[in-house]
Amino acid sequence: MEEPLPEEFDIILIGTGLTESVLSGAFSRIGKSVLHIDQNKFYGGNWASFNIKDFDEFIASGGIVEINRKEFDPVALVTEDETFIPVSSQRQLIKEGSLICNLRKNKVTTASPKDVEQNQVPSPKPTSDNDDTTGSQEDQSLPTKIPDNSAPKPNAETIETNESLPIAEVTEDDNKSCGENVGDNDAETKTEEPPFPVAMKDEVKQTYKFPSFDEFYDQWRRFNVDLAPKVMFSRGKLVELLIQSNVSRYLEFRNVSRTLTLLSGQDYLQPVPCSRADVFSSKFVTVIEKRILMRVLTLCANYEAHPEEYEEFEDRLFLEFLCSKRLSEKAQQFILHSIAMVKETSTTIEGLKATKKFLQSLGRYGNSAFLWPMYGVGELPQAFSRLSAVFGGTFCLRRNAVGLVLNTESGKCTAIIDSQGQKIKCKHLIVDESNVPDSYRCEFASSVSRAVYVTDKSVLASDKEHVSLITLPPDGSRGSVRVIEAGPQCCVCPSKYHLVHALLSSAPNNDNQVCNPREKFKEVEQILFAGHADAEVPQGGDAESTDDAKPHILWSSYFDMMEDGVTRDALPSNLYVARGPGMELGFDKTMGEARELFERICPDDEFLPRAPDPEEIVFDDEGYNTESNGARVEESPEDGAGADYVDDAEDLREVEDGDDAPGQVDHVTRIDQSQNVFIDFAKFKNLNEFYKSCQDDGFDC
Amino acid sequence: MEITKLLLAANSDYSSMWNYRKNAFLHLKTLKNEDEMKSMFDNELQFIESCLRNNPKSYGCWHHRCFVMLHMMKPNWERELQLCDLFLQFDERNFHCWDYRRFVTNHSNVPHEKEIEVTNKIIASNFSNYSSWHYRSKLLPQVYPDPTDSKRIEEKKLLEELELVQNAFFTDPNDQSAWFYHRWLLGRGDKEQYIVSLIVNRSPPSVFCCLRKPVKMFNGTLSVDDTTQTVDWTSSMSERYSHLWFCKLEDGFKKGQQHTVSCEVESSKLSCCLEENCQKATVCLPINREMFQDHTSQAKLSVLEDELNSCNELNDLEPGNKWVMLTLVLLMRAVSPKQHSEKISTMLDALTEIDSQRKRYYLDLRSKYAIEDCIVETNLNENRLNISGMKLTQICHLELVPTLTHLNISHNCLQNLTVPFANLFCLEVLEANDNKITNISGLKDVPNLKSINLDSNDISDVKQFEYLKTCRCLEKLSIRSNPVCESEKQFPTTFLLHFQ
Repeated sequence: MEEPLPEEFDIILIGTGLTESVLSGAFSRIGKSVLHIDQNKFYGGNWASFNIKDFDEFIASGGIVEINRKEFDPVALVTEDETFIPVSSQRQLIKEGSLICNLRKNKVTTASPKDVEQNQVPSPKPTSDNDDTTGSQEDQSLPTKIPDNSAPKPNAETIETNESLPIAEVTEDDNKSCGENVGDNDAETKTEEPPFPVAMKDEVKQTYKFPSFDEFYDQWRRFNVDLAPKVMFSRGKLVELLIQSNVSRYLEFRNVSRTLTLLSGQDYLQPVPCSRADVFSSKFVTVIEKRILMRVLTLCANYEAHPEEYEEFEDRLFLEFLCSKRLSEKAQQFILHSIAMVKETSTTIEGLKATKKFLQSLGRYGNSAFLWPMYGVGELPQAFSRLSAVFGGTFCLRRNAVGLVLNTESGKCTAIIDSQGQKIKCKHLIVDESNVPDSYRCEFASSVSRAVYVTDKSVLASDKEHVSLITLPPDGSRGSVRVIEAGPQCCVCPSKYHLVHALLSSAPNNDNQVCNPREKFKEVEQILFAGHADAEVPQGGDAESTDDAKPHILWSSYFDMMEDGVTRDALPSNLYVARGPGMELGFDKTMGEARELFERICPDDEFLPRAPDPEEIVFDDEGYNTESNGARVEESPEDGAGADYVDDAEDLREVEDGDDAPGQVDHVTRIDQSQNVFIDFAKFKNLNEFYKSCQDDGFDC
Repeated sequence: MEITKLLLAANSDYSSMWNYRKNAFLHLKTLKNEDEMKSMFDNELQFIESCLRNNPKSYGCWHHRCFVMLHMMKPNWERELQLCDLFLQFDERNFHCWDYRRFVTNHSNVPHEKEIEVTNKIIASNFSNYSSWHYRSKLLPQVYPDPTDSKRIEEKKLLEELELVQNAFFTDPNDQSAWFYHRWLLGRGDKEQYIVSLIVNRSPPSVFCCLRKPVKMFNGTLSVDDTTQTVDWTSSMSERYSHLWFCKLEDGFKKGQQHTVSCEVESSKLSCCLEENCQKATVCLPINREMFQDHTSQAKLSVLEDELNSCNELNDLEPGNKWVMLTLVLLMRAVSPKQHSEKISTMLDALTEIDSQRKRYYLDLRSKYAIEDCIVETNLNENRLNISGMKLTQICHLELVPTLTHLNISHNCLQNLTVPFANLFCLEVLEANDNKITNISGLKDVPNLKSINLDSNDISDVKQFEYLKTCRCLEKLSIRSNPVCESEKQFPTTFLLHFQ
């Protein structure tokens, strides 16, 4: 059926998450033979980004993959001195997944029939018994409510269509389509191609500013929904690694251009002044606060040099330290939650370290401390996978290991048996958490509750599009919530939409708390959006939904990402388990882990040295020679950062220029052209002769 | 052309080569048709751009670009503006580019409001940028002019600007560009011109006129007994702008007759009566505080007081910041010098400690304030000024008091008298004893100086006294307790002989 793989590899990696991909690239780069397999049909594992359809599908499946497994007895492949350890392929990556689409007419798309029944996710469900009244009320209020919101533009045409739209008919249509949808659910979970009567389609298109369900799903390809949204510290390990390894050439980034927060007692977001320029232009803090804030930030940026300033607080809370600096409460919250991003219980040293890290990243690429990868975080593992493939790594999707083979004597893992019944030997095996044999698992470790929203506008209106990092400090029983919002300029959603990710660390084994992720984000929705994602808007919610400044939720999804617990001590010495994305904001832990694993396996090799650009690869008789052209390598300074840094910065700038002012796109390209012209001059070989002839002619050179 | 192109590509600062190209273009323009020239100019612009990419601060490049743009038939100003945006992104403080931007906006009539927006943006991204603050100070008075003074901005806008700049210096009080802009906002307005004093000499018939603010050319109307005279005013100061102007009267004054001389400029008029049997007459207006306030003085008092308060707050937060303190001093002087005199003095003392590299500057500033206070409190019509015992380190404002006959600068900390005293036409007695004077070069050509007391100073070089040769009326010079007296035993006799 499928082509058999080679019999033996230096390294086998299972799972194409970021850690594994980085390692895959690193091992291929130094010439190790690498097999990289993934049970999914996509790259990235827990780190993947999906378009809307694939996302729907993924959520519906709960992350469980049906592998087209050959029937065979793996144990038969094992010799006498070997032990077979099975790996169960049915790990659930996500739990409690649900999807809601608020768009008109067919508002309901459901994940798995199981979920629908458990959570009553699809709101307007006139067929259900107990919710019938509220449900149908909603149905009627929705079509009337939304034209109201768009009323400020009394367009004759619009009004006409609205008037000619009999509500009764709408409800009827709704009933019909919902009924069909439910029928669909019964048969098979099917999210794409919702059944619309042709006549209704026309009607929908003519209505209001919100896109119709069709219009939304027609653009399914243009969404990139992350499973693990994270931002990169501009001076974090990942950025350094991208530069160092030249993997950055596969990627484009945008600045996370603003940091927002919610101050306690307020119900609106406000920008956090982080940089000097922010502090200067912030309208939310008084000049006095500005001065103190600047003083504290300046101190934090170089705190080691001033031990006298924090010594007495060394063992005390960071909050106390901030308090002692006469910072206003507002400014304290800014630093604690949005700049240091530490807990209220963090010590002064932790806080200072975190603040310093933030400040060091600030300003490297524009007025921001963070970068966001265009097309979503899923691009990152793919970029490293590409590097691995370029350097000869073998990749195989939709394949996993049904078990590992251990040498009984040494206890080492000598091979895997893949889902095609092939036994593939390896010197080292690296797996992600979901591919760990059950025997090495401990009980479930933790999970991250996630919500993803597609909205009609940004959470905080601005004259230009931003990538926003929003921290909602803990409030009452709710823990700290991290929100990342990105727009079409990041190529994560089509124009006129915004994509919002929300993350909440959910404590395990805490039964008395709300478990359903949708419930957990209710409060967050109240803060960020107009109305709720589901149709069960409480009666008082009407006032909120008329608040036009806040975005409306057009589509939303909730799920819990599982993090499996692994007893790492019990692992065979050449089996390594890479951690999942977790709650970390950046990538430093992941990168640290990747480097550590690499150094354990290849202590004498360089971790991801700079990969040559394609034009530097010289082909010779023996195929291609990956040694990069010497002169070029020497060109870059010793530390490598300087030159690459500039290249990178230029890349970034071009991306930004292009979108900020359309007129400048041509301009940028034009400059580049003229630069090429200039380089031609510089290359002119007879320049010296020219000087000479000029001197002969009496010019003074 | 190709040769110059190569040379300039290698070194774009070679202005002769640019000029050579300019000539070539001017010549080609007479030969080629419009389309050919257009493509040549377009290529040239691209070439300049490539040079600028290499050397964005080349005078030659930017200048040549202006030349090309001016000679093009249909210059594309829009594109040039974008070029400026781009280069300012690379380096927001590239003043060449700012200059070129002004050139472009002037020629393409970009509305000033739009340009203010540009400065807004650039300042918001980094306010340590004097270029953009400066550009702002040029644009604002054109968009929001003060109805009474075209060089200033209307009050509402002024308050907004003050708030903006306050944000800047509260964010970073060490950033001087914000402080300089702050100073511009508060001061440096156009003062009304008026005549401070008149000196009339019977013989030779002449008039000295002292003006409040220095001018390049003075064309005041002079009349004697209500008859307008045709006179040539000449400056009696060496600077380009002069406070003091001098003229000879063709007809002269009749002997033993009383004359009324009056001088008029703008809306100010001053008259002086030359009595029958007097050789000379002087008149001066009392000099008030306003006279001396140059920075931070044009804004309304309430505005100044607000600024003073916020600076005081900043000073509490950030003790020992020199910019804050200096601004405080200036503001206190502007608001109420008398009320704040003690604080000004302690603050200046502190500044000499904090910013010891500019110690002399602060000491001189204090001397200046002391002299100003003294001048304001003295009735100048008595023609005497006593500024002794004030720890002065410099003498200033002499140009405003040309009518003095007696000047006492003794018991100070003066180290030299290099400021010219020559404009003190009437000065007869100068008491400069008990200082640390080593140099007296300023005492040249003081026409009526009769007596100088230089006792207890630090003059050690006989040659210093050569300057006094030019004071023709000098009768008495006292130089006791100077180093020179010990080293040059024979000196007193020989030197005094010279005067006799």
